[in-house]
Amino acid sequence: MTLPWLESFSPVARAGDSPLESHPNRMVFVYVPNGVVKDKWVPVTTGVDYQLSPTLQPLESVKQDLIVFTNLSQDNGRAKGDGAGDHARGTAVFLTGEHPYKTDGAAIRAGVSVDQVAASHVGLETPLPSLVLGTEQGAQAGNCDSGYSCAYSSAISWKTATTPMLKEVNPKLVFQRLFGNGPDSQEQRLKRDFYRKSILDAIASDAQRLQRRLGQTDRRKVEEYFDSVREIERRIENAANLKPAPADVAAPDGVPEEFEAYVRLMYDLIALGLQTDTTRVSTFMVGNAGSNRAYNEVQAKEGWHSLSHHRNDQQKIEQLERIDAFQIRQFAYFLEKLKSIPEGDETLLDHCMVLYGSELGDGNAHTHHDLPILLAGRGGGTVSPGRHVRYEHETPLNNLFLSMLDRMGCAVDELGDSTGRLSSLTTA
Amino acid sequence: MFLALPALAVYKRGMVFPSAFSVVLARRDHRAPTRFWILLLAIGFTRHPLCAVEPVPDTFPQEARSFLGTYCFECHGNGAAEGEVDLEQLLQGPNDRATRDRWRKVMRQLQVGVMPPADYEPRPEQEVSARFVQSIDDRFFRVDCEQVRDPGRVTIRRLNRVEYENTVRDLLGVPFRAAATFPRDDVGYGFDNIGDVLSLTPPLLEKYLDAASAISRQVIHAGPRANLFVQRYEGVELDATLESGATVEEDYLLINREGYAFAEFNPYVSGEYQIRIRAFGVQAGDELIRMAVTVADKQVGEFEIQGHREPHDYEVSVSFGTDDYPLGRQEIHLVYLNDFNDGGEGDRDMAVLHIEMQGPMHLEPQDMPYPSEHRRAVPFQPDAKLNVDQAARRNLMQLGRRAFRRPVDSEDVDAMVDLVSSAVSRGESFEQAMQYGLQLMLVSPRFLFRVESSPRPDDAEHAEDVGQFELASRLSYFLWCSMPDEELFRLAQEGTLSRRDVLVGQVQRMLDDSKSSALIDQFAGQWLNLRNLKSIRPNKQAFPEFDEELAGDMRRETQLLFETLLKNNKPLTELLTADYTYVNQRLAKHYGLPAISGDGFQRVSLADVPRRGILTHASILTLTSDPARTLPVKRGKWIMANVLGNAPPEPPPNVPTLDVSDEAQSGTTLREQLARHREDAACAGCHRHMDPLGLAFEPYNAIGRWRETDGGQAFDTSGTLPDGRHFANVMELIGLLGDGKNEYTEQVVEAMLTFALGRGLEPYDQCAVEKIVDMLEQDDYRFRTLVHEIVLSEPFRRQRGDGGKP
Repeated sequence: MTLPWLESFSPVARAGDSPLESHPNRMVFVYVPNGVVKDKWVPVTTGVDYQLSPTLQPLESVKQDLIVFTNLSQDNGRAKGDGAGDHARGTAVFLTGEHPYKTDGAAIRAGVSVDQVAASHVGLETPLPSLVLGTEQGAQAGNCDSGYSCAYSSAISWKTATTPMLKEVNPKLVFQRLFGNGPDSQEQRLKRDFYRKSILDAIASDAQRLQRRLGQTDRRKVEEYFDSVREIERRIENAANLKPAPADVAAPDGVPEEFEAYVRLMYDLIALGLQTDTTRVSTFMVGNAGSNRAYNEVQAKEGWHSLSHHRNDQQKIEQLERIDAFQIRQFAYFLEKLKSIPEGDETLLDHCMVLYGSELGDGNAHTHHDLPILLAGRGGGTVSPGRHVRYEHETPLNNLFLSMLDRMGCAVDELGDSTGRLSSLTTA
Repeated sequence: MFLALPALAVYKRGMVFPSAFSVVLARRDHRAPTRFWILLLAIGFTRHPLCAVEPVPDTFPQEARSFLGTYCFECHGNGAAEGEVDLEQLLQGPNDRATRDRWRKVMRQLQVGVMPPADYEPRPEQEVSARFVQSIDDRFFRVDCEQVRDPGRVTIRRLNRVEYENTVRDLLGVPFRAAATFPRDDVGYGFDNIGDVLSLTPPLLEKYLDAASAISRQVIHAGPRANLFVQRYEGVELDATLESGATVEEDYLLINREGYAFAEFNPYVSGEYQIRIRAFGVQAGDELIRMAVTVADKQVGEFEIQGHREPHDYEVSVSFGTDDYPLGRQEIHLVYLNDFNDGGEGDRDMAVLHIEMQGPMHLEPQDMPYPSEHRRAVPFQPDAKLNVDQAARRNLMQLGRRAFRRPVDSEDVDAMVDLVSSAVSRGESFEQAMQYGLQLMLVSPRFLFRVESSPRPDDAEHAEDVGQFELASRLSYFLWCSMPDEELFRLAQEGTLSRRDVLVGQVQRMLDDSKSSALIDQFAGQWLNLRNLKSIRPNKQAFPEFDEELAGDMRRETQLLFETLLKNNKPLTELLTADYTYVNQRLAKHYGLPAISGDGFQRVSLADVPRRGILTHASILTLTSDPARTLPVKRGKWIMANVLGNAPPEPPPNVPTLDVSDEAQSGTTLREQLARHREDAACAGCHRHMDPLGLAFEPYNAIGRWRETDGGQAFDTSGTLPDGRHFANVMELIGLLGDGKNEYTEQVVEAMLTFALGRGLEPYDQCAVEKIVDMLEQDDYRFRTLVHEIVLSEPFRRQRGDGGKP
């Protein structure tokens, strides 16, 4: 097979490079809702000497590990005749590039998301194919956004076009997912896994009898169940590789009271998952689509979503800017954390591609072009950060995803509305 | 004025906005047999899928081309697609769901008068527009109930969290807190029990496996019997109240403020038990720490904790199986009575290392009987007469019938029996092996899903009564959110459950059962979005009095009204008009009602205060506000959608939302600002209806408290209903909304039918909805009649095949 991207994919040679094989590439996707205040976000100059914009100031210490993208878009977030609901729609599109079917009930459908494409490949090599996190569970009642199901507004990770991944929002349970349920002995774990596998085998044999008596929709539902059975079986096979939590790390109790501490803890857990190679793919929704949380911690009086419709009221815009900066501070914390973890002669961040972005460009106008997108890390030497890159208008965000998947070793020909690979992730 | 347009009764919740030119018809006229319904989804080209009809020549394409060509194509056709709407393309599109959704939008735009825009020439005459709306309706959305008898099809439903929890409780007799373990279920059509929407991903299956393992160990005891004699919790395993400020330290629980730690114990044999607490004190101030122990809300001991950081045991004995201290699962509380904190070094705290309970003391530990849940799950053991296979099979067949909620044959439990046998042959005890068998049962698709199988599952033309056992489950999951009980199983077994009189009797019995609180919790909680009160966060500076407890009280108040109406079979309209409510101390204070003491709720009269029904409950008022201020438009929209059944369409894209802040500072009232908003033709169509409704509720602030003014501005709460009736203030408005002369009854029927079926309503369901509404009209809108008629309805009792048909 010829790989046209191979040229740009070859690692950037640096003095003292260790063999890359020993440190796999990872990808993380961080989503923030409601768009950003654009004129405080987009750096004025491009290229390697660009100046960080006011909102991005907290990233100064990791500026050289960062690419700021301008003009990447998600066209399928637009209405296309489906009317209102930009938040939910844009969120379903964010990592899939597929236009979701408008429904608040039956037949939800978006597309497979980039993280899950990667997880289905590299996830086979780790105990957890992916780690899907958030801070707000799916809304409990009502349609979530102008006729869009809550499934759309509370998930960015889609395992299949019809199956959104459930987020984990409780740090305690995230920790258990990563490192198991406490101090089981090896023998206990082996025994548990043996019987668990026996149970799963038995379920599978039970299946056919049930399927015969069901209609096609029901059969699909049950098929989804058996997909999960197979996935867990595989996970158990990998469990032998499950690494213990580092000795100096204690399991979290639950959700911290302070939101900032909560977000940082979730970032810590992602870092821990990557560091221990328990997973190589993670997504994190800092809030659900249209989140209306009041950020009292930065003196934002009204709900975030309400503020995002500021209609150029300077007071509201300032509150929004403070929320944007708050989120960036937490993200900077995460990047610094990744950078503080050595891997060989390099750092964990060097072996990551960490994408940060929102489903909307300007939250006030619900725009789907020029989304705020950052990419941090060197992707194992396959990415040259430290730049602000301005692309052609309406360049599909999914083109970046194709390029990222190449670098994870799971190239695909297309994803969503991709039209090709993004040029110049690596400087010549 | 009476126009050619027939009254546009509403079918789907939130579906049709009253036309700008619509006329008000008396309610009976709505109900006339010749009325036209606007339906959410069409049946397709073959109008009547279950019976053949004469084909009618199709004049629609021609008519549509003529209307759209004249008034619309300049922007939305001929290659133009403003706002990404291309009607020419739509006209050529297939008659599928997406196309019909778009036609529905065209209809709404025309009805509201938003399109064509006010400044566009030519504009259609109202009659012309109305006629075309009717044609769209006929073509895509009409159903003839005489011809169509389609009971629909329910997609296989996974148990949601609440159903799982309740089913485990009723099946095995042990508590399981699914809400703390499982992720929230996805919501469709406003509810989280919709088969089409409930998914099952690997992380959830993993949680099911973990839950099955934990539950099986809770039910079946595999260790020595003596272990049953002692129940023990380490300090770090204890729960504690929020106000106690308890923190988990290395190997103990530290209680920082007055409050209590607690754990659940299960004394199941009568006799005297010893409770032993190992604790120490961090002493400060001039007295020793005092700790009370309470059982069944009664104090059974009080201790002074001796020494500074010196662990000691504190013992007390209690006789369980008495009137004061009944048997069964219950919490024991360790109460810290005398906190002291001088703000500096002097901080007195109580620490608990562990708590254990032994007993009953008259038994030798090895003679402890198994608890009832164990005996029920494992009534047979291998012995001289039964080998392992046989004993396991008997146990599992008994359990399986109830777990799978239908008769099971030997083959159905083969896999479980094999698992038990192989575990025994690997050296496990029979009890341990039975735990694995039970685990398999609890992750089987037959347990996790409510399977309704059919001999012709993919024949959409074939409808039949659902089976007796399926009907039992439909009943129990509707009214109890749980599995059927023995009586339902027995009636299903006898084949009499589907008899009308039996069904009616069972519904009465089930509603009287305390398990029907699940219906109120789940249905009302979701229909009215009460659950969202948990996540709502009003601005702390503006509303310092709002906290989780107040939010819980708000929710409870609305549930209690709902419960009263259901229990006493009161009219549905009383939900809107009740001149009484339920409050506790906090809520009475919040409302400014005469003081009441305690956390318990009491019924109080509202005769002398301006509050009536749920529209003035703090719950609904808070849910329809922003964190810092009221949102009259949101409140108006809520009433339009949930009471009048006319949810307005979403605003067109790029229309700015109302801006309150700067203009408010310049002294105009919110009402004046909204009025300006309505001058815009694009907004006026909807806002002239919504805004007055919401503005009438302005005297209730963003957390539902009464206020006379807002920033010194008095409120003008007068207005006009969409049907033209005038109201002078909010009390008059509520009176009008609750008079039964609007679509409120349909709203309730549709919501409850959706919840009962676990699927979204389709066009053909309108026939069932209509019938239920008629029955309600004849019976004073009584609550239980609603439940009865839903259970007796065609879609609840019958089912057809799938074959890809919606």
